[in-house]
Amino acid sequence: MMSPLALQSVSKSFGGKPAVSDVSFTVNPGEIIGFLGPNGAGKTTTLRMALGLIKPDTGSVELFGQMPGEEAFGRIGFLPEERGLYKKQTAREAIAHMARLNGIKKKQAFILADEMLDRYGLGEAKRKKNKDMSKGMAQKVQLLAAIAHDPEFYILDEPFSGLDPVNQQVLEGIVREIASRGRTIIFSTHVMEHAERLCDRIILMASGRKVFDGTTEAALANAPRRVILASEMDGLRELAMPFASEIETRADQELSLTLKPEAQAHDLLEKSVAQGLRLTKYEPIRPTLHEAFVALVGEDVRKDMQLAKDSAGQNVNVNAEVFE
Amino acid sequence: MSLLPKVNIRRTFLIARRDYLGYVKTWGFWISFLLPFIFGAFGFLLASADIDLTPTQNITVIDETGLHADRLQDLYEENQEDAARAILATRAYFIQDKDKRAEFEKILRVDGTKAAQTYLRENVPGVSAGYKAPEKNFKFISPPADTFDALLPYLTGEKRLNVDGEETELGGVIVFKQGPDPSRPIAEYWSTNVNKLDAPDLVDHYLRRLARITYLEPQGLSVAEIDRRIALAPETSLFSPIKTSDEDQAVNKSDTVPYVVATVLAFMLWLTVFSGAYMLLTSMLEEKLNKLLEMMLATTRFSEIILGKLLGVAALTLSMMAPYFIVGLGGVLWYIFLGPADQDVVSGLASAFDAQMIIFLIIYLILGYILYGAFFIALGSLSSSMQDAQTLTTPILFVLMACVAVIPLGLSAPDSPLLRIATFIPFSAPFASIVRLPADPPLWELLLSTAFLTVLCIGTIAMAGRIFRFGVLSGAGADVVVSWFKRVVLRRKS
Repeated sequence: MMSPLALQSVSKSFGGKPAVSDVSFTVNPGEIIGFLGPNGAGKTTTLRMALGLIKPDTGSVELFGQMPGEEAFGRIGFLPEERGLYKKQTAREAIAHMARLNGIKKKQAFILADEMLDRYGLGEAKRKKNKDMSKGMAQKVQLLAAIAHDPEFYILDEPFSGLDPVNQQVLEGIVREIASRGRTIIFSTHVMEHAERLCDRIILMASGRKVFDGTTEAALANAPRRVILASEMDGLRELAMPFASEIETRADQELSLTLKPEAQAHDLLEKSVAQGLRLTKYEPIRPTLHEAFVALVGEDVRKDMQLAKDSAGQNVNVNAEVFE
Repeated sequence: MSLLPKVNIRRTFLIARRDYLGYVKTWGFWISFLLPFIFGAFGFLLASADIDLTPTQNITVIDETGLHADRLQDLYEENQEDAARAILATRAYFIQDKDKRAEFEKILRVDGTKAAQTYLRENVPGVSAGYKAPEKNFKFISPPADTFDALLPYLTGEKRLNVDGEETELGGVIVFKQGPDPSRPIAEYWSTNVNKLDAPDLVDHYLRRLARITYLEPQGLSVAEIDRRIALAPETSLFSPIKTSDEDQAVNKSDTVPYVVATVLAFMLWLTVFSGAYMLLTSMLEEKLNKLLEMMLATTRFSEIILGKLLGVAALTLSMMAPYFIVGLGGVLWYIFLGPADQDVVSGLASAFDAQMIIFLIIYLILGYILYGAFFIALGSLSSSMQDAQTLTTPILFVLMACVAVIPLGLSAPDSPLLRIATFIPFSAPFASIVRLPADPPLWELLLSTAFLTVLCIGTIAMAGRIFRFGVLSGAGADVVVSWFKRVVLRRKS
């Protein structure tokens, strides 16, 4: 099957300032790809080049094996980062209009619009004007407008941004439902948790460069491994020191260890048994994608990332409560 | 490589349709659309109801000199006669038989209005039926009291008059007092209505005439005879050597009507282009603020969006202008087929709408709209607010204003070099060329002007496409244009 998207050494500068530098990747049919990175990492510029909205300075882009253009119209569902709808259109008119632009006939487009609105819990908003809708509702309508024609390949730029936790959950449901039909999806986000939950593969961007491309598990392997240990006996710190690159005391007789790259957690457990040191707590911590990202990028980008995380912090935390 | 961009007709139509319906579904559109009909109906009702918009005032005269009251009233009657003569002169246009018309005009000039009315009644009753005597803005009544002081309560409304059995008000009092000599009386006008000045105007007219009489008549010259001779003075006959339709090559309304029609059409063209271009600007701005363009660009070409908008707003503009065309056309058709039409005017209208006019009107309407529309699309895509849009469009609005200024030249000086130059400047070409058409300008000039305009249109669309792309995707705005202007034109470092 033909690859929906292939970027080869793509670079783009604006006013002499590089926005994207030498980025290459291929999207395979049926994949869900998280396109991750902090604000200003070059995600939107890359996606715009992928669609042919802007031309790369160097490198090449192939959309369904061809230069981006008319041949791909109707095969792509694109949700841009900037959100909006015609304010005086109703929800069903907005969805039907985009579906018709994507080649669906008028009658079918309205049937589709009604079905989608019913399916995703917006049935009562069918005849509501977009200007009268809440932000979350309007955002969902726009997503439905982008995907109503059931394209083969979905490009969603920051689909979760600005949504409350409940609507983020609904949107994740939509993405899963699309994926279950074997469609290909690439979505950008600077909040790693969504990618962690949804993606088979992630591409990490930082400062306009691709810093990682692989499965989520492979990305997590780059993150520092941590273990929490606790014991009522003395000698816990001495036991842990050969295995740890960093030790943090969390509470009385409880340590958080960052393991050295060559160290294995089960060796630590075996050694404690051998030394007769009874552990009251042994808890390997699953690394997060955020930690993997921080490990993969340099100190400068780490700071940028922290800023992005701080700005998205409220959503992320609330989200964690809902889903974890 | 093709100069013309590729477009998908279906998508272009869908974009045009959305733009069109987006406006048509608003109240504002329907109010604008129905306005000419509403005004027309209101005017018709007003005319049918025969409502007197300027009620007749009752004026009285207190003449302390005993010399002027009667003469003032005689002058008033003369003025009424002149007004009746002017109205009857316009009725001559509706007499289709040229001989009868000439005879009527002669009777009116020599024998006066009463004889002219009799002639109309007996020879062209249809035209006579349309005659309406001039309205009286005021009428003289006998003073309800002998002294000015006794009249004051009538002026202030404390007391009312009884005129012809009806209770009414006293509108004003003219007072003549003894002046330095009999030819220079002191005249005063007293009224609570200081805006209605028909009576004091008559007094001024009377005083000027009095000055003439007191100067000329002692020298044996009659002012009445001078006025009569002026009225009987012959008039210049106009002829055109290039005219072939009439045997005597005499110029009449059929020769001047095409110039009037061309001027009206040029104004309508300007209004259509202006309102269409401005609607494109607001449509573009709305599109940018709605932030849907990027999503649409994954589905449609830039060229389809621009063309769709041009077509949608063109349809909208034509819909908005349609009532004016319908009312205008209806008026013309009523005049020709149902009204007492002046045959010279009818033949002038027929020659005004010849094939050349219709073809060039359509060409210039399309090209003018595309030229200004593309400019406004580009400026709209650089704007992020109405304030931005107003700032950016000011220069092009000045150009449009300058263009409308050349249109009246078509009536007063169709051979003006300025008009000829304006024909070759693409921005003014649509309007200048239309007003020149009745003067039969060389065809090569029109074709060259069209060619210039076409080239500039193509260039403007290409430029608008680039600016549109730049403005929409890079979020560039008015500040970018200003900094470019400073850098390139003013050579300042940013």
